[in-house]
Amino acid sequence: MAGSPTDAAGLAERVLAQGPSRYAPWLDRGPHLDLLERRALPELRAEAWRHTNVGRWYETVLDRTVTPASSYRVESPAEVEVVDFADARAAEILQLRGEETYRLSAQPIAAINALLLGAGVAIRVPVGCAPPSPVRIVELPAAYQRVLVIIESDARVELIEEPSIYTHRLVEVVVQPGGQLVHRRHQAASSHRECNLAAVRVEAGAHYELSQLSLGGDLRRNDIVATLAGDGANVTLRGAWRLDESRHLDNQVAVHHRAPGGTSRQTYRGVAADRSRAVLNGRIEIAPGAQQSDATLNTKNLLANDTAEVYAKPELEIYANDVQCSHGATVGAIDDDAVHYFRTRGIDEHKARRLFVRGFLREAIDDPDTAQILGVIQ
Amino acid sequence: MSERTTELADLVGEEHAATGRDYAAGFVTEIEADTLPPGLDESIVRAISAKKEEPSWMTEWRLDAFRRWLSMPPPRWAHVQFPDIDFQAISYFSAPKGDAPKSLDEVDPELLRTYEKLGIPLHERARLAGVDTAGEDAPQVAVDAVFDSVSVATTFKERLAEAGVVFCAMSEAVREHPDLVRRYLGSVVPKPDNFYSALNSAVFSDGSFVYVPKGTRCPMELSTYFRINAENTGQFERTLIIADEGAYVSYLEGCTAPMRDDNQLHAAVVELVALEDAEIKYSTVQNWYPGDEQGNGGIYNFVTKRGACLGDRSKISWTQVETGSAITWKYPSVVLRGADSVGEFYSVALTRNRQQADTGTKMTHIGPRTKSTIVSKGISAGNSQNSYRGRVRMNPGARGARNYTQCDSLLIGDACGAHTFPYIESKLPSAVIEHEATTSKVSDEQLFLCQQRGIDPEKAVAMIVNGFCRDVFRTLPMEFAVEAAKLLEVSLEGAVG
Repeated sequence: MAGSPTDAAGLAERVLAQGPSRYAPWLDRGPHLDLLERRALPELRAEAWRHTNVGRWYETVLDRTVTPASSYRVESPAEVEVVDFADARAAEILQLRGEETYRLSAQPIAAINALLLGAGVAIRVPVGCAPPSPVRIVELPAAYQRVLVIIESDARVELIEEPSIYTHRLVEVVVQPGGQLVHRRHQAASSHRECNLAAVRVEAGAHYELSQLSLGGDLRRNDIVATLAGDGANVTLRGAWRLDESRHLDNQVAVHHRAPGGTSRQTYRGVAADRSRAVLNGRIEIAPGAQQSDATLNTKNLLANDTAEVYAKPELEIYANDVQCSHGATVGAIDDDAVHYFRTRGIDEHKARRLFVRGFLREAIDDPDTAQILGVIQ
Repeated sequence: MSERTTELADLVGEEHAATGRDYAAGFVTEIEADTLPPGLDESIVRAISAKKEEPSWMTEWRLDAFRRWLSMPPPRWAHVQFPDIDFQAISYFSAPKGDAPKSLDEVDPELLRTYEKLGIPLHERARLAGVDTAGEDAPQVAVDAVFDSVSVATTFKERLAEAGVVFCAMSEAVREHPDLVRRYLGSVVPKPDNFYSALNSAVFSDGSFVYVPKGTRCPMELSTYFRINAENTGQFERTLIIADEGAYVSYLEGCTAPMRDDNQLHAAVVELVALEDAEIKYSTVQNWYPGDEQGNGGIYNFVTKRGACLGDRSKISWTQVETGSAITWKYPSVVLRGADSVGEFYSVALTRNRQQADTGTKMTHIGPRTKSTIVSKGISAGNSQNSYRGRVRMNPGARGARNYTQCDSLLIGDACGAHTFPYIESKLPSAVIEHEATTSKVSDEQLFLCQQRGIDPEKAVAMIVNGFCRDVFRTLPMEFAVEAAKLLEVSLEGAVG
């Protein structure tokens, strides 16, 4: 595409010139237009984009050659309300969300999602409802997609995001008091450049669990923001990835403890091979007053060869004293001693390494069958 | 040029009496000073260079740094908040009046008393085995005393010279050892490395220079004591330590400043160079005036410290105990270039009241089998914010390199913050990086256990904190370790309750 903008200002200008999308006209796009008018998109060297060249994503923003799916495919049990964002009913479901689940100033590229939005789905799981089968988001027919999930009080459900093609996807989740959501995200190897944001608010006594299985993309960026907004909220995040060729995966995770007594557990395992690049930035933030918070993050990375790169930045930002927080991060190679141990038991080196990697990744995988089908484990 | 004496002395003296237990070093020395007017332009840079009677290459070096500085933005990524600094309101040079003393006997007695009061004896009284002379325990440490912009005295110079060790003021080194200075100055921290290092390169006034020749073990601990005295001045010292092949040196650094309501800027650069098989141990007890309870006054401590392990099997070890400064922005780092070289960073940072600290280290592994260890203990009390920020990078070529990082934070009170920002970057599989961090408060059980045994809560907290910091204290030379533990105890007073 001629003259693809690679800088923030150039892109903002082009998006503004094109005007906001007419899809879901009821959506308030004021703040998003304002952000672009203020030219507040991330600059190429912004700290949050230290290891991902945001300019490469900017290049694809207006690229019409990205061909997403041609139709809606969202599978859901009968008890669950599922509405196209084009429908005015979606506006009512958005009302149930209450305040935004993320700050636009902290996630500026979400403004592009709102302005270019082409497909969206609002999902509501009614009070106390616990359907036996999951909600499955298979395909949405646009490059800019939005998923809104409201789990009402004491309801519980499983949500699966199947591998699909998009330029930006925004998933907003609210788990109301006592509710539970198990969120599974399957990201296949991709030659596209995509960003997504999962923004989650977990209210009192509610549970949110994310299991993310990823292979890299030409550029793949996962922003995850989880807020423990009510007393005793619980968040579990798991991520496992295996990158090869020159694939790229950048995970930016922020867990905010805003209320007392919350628990969060984060476990990440990744393998980077060939010329791939894996990034994990995991921040735990404990707000003033969020006493008795208990938060941990653990990330372990294997580098398979000299040309792969791993960047890890686990952060703690703590403003309350009666808390227990910890994080651990390691980067290294396959343990030769372990391989030797396998070999003494008659397992050849190739298989030994495969088993080692499998066992290593398994610590962050609760659904090994899917992980195997997807190719995260072999 | 303006001349003036410090007329605020009495005023500050009274204030000091009121809050004296907090910051015993907060007094002002009344001494006539020769101070450059506030403001910074090329003429000031030239004036500083002229005052130091520097050769023209040094003047040019400074001017180059100044020109680069003009186009650099101040760093804003640190987790600290303060109003923009007006660099034109600062005076960049202040020295006690009079000719430079030729020997210790010529040093202004007022200055000697100042250092005496700070517990830094500048006399060369040797300690007799097992005998305390006049109750004053003077360990055998060679001291370079830097008062505002100049070095006022360096002790034990002759004794060190016998061993071939050069220990002198930086300005003297520029004149006496130009080859070494030209070769290594700016080689570890280049002029445009960052905003404050560029500023320092332009206006640095004094600091210490150490050269330990091949195969020499420096016969005593070397030490520099930095004192800011004059008002509205910045202190920009520059330290360069070179350990030649197989040499060993242990260097201690201490710093204090009077209590004032204005913030003062301290932007130092320290460069360490370790050649083959050399070892440098650099210890700091930083006790700059931290400001009062409301956060008025205090030193802005924006320091660039970096060591280069150039030679194979060389080792650089940083130990810091940070209790002072209103704002700390400091990352003593090691560039591990030589094969099998070792970098260490041990840190205790205590913040209270409204202090803000963003401190940590950078370990850059370049050579094969290089090793680094980071142990950081942060303690936050009052309304303070305490951040650890560290980067461990494994470059291609650092085959078989290893890093271990442990950072622990302790929170005392519910209005403070403790933060950890480690950057872990690896480009090769055979390098191993391990990072662990924890945050917790002083355990109620431990406190209860102490109180049960009749230890009052304040002492109990001091004990627990002391234990929490033990891994770091044990790396300090003995006298410093005792001093550091005491300092921590004093700093914690009133923080519990």
